[in-house]
Amino acid sequence: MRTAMVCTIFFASGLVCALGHAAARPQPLPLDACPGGDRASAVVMEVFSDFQCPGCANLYQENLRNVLTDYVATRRVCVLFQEFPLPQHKYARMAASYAVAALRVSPAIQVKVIDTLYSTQARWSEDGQVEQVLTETLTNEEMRRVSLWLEHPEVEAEIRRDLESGKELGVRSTPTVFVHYRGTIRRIPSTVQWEVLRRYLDYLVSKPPVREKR
Amino acid sequence: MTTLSRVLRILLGALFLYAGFTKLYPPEHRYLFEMALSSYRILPVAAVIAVAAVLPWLEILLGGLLISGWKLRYTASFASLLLLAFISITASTYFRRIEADCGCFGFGEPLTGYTLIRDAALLLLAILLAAHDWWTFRHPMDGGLAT
Repeated sequence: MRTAMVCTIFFASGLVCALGHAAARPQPLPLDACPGGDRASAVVMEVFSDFQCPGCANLYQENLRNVLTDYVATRRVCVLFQEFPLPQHKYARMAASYAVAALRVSPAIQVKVIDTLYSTQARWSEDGQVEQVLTETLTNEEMRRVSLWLEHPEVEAEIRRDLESGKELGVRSTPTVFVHYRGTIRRIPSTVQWEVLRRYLDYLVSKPPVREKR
Repeated sequence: MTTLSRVLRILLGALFLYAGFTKLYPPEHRYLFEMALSSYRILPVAAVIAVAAVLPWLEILLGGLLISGWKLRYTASFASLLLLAFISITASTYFRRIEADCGCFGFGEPLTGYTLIRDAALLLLAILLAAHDWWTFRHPMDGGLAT
């Protein structure tokens, strides 16, 4: 009887530990920039991605593209793109450099670059011809301005900052998506269906603003 | 064994209650649970929304019944079947290498091998409880439950 009770207590302790593990949350991070939209938006989606990862391309094509069109354009949600190139992906860091350089030119051009890189992922992932696929979408002037920024040390520094930021948040794989809302951070699954993600975003943006206490 | 059975059913019932409650409150969790279910890529959107609306209440009801001990052999058997269904779905998702959110006891917990082990432990617990209650029901002379 005593052995059985000890076993039960041991089992219960294991389950309590398991629940504690499930409730672990990453620490909030200061949002000092929000290039994919209006930084004053109440809802901020922070996306850690690698341009060569197929899951990231799926996330972009199935969800983020819709978020950009339906929520970012109307300034209800901000998408913060964070570069997280994985070492096993040979051309991911180069692609990330283009995206960061494009942001230095303008957020609209960054979105154009991101869209092109994900749409043509299968092509440039083979031979690393990132510039070639971008010249097909960007104008000559846009391409020239992006190229000017490409060699700037700040671009590489920003990628390193993004990687550090991801590691601090416990990012171990891509894509990883966090939603920042009223001081809380939620890690949301990257394989969610668009209609379901839309219901969540609609719920968040429909909540009345919090009144500041005097 | 009666005391052990009581401890087990209260433990399992409390876990079901907690699992159900955490999917309903605060209201944002209802949407997070929908997203967790959606990330398994098994159900169409309409079914995801329907299951996300019903399952938490089912878990709360089951938890309450387990704690009360009413018709324990049936509730524990049903809990076993439900946990078996959970394990089948999570295992299928895990082995398809889909990066889903478990959505089991709160949110933001990626589905890993550890999740499967935990669910298997819970299933074992529910089966033990059901088997014990069925046994004492069929063989009352061997010692029954005080339920």
